[in-house]
Amino acid sequence: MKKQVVVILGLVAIITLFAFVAKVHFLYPKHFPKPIYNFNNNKLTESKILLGKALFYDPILSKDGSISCSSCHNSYNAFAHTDHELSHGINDQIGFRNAPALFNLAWQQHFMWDGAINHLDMQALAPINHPKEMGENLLDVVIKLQASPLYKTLFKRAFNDTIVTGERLLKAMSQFELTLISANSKYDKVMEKQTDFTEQEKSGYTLFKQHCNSCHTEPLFSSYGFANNGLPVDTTLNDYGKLNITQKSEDSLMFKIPTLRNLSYTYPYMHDGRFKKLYEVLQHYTKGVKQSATLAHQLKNNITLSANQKTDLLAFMLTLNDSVFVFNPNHRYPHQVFNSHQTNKIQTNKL
Amino acid sequence: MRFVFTLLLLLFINVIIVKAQHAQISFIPKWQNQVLELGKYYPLSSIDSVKVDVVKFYITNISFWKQGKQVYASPIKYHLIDLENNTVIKLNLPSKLSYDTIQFFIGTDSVANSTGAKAGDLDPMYGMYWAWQSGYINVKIEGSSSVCKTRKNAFQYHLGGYLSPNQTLQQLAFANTSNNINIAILIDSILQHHTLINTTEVMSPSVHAVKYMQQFKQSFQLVR
Ligand code: HEC
Ligand code: HEC
Repeated sequence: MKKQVVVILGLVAIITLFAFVAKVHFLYPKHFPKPIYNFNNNKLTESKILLGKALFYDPILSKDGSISCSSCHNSYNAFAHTDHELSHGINDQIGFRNAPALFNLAWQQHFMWDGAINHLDMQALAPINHPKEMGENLLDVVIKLQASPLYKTLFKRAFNDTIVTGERLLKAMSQFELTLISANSKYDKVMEKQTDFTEQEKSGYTLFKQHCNSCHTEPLFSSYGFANNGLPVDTTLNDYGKLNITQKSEDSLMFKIPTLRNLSYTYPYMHDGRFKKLYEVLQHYTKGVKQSATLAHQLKNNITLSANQKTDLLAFMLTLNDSVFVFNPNHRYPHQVFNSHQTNKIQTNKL
Repeated sequence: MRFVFTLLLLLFINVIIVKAQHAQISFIPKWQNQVLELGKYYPLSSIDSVKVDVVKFYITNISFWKQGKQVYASPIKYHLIDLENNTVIKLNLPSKLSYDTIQFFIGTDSVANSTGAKAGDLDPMYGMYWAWQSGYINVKIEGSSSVCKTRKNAFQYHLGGYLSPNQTLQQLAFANTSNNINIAILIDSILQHHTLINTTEVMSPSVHAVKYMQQFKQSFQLVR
């Protein structure tokens, strides 16, 4: 009996040890394209992913310790910020855009609604520095982490020494974000031939391919390019998208095409959260498209959809909801890490 | 036998170390022929003055040339110069390297700007990376002047941009054979009275950023 316990404990120890150094393979389904993120420059390991997760959920990243990334990117909303049209940051300040959902980030080249950020690693700098979001700067965060016993432990596990640098912090955050993969929707199961669409969903799929797929390209449901989909400018915000960054007139009103996965969890919709219901989105594409110089050619003529076709299209869009992803406990607030802080017993094998 | 071998090895290492050349590039900020001190007021005109608090910039891809051919490129590519505490770049050159020209860039190349988080002098924690839009600030000059009609009379030039048409990377070459290279930066040629009146802020890639980067480059002079 005693012997068995020893053997089991030994095994657990070995597995735990293995978990520290274990390289993590980036797994994705066959019907997905190759990721864009260059993993050679940032090899995934369990301990770095865990560090990134702790940072994502820790308000230590904000000036007054009140806001974490998860304040605006909630796991139960596919890491979007529901209810709020525009995101809320420190001192309850309101930003000027809707917080997008975070998943399948490894397939994206540009980040933010206007593409201001060219690499996932550099994205976290934006909210950390933004006076209306976290109001901090990276050097002060590094100094705070350097002084924290918890992060000493986590950095040691991840990098074999306790040195905190901006590069390490940013790359660890990327690692956690890269593990947020949504690929378990009904659509995915159909692609993997595990199930079938209903007749209604099939009809919706056909309509989708006809009207939407050129921008919301399957299987990621975005080409992750930019387009002007004809939203009238909100004159209280005057947000002209990519133009703000490039100053080129051809980029006026160009916004990053969002994915259509997990829409039931990520309302409200569009860069300023102007639509609360998917029905309103379809109204926009059939009746509300505003003509302008940069309007996408696909939308120059209003799309016509009958009431039945709209219902079918919506039914198809609902097959892109991925509850396995949204309710994945591995992506949630890492209680063990923060609780074990005092006892120093961090379970890196339980991601 | 073993002892002799070790001795030989040590001797060999010693020879290599002795043979390697050291070179250093020092940057010396100047205000009208005096060495500029950060935080000190200098006259701009009979009534106005200017104080420089921050000058930080990247010197990158240093290489050595002889008769138009590159003979050596420094393996450490990116150096952050901060006039407050780090004004010298030390290099180890191969032994017997002879050269007639030293070349380097002011600013960071597009690879550094677009391939994710970087370590060393490129670490974004040094505050030389824009947060809200990707890209390095290649040159940061901050201070205040009585001519600036801004809060606390402050001016801030954050010069950068790696995408066309507003690329700010500047190439510089000096005819030089010495291993002890002193480069003066004529700050007064950049922060002129009319410049400070007209421009108190450059904070993003633009034609202005390119123009000021070119001026910054022109303010570099080899001290012989
Ligand atoms: C105050 C709310 C807020 C906080 C806090 C916040 N974000 Fe965001 N996030 C946003 C908004 C709003 C956007 C869209 C910004 C834009 O397009 O200009 C965004 C965009 C992003 C994107 C780009 C997604 C895409 O598809 O382009 C990523 C990645 C991201 N955030 C990660 C993070 C991380 C990591 C943190 C913590 C360091 C964080 N966010 C903190 C509101 C927030
Ligand atoms: C020309 C490209 C293009 C086409 C075609 C297109 N869209 Fe879009 N779609 C966009 C862009 C760009 C946005 C983001 C616009 C913004 O927020 O400014 C968007 C946003 C959306 C959103 C909001 C998603 C979110 O997370 O906020 C939904 C839903 C949507 N589109 C559905 C559709 C449907 C359904 C169709 C087909 C009937 C369609 N789109 C056709 C480009 C397109």
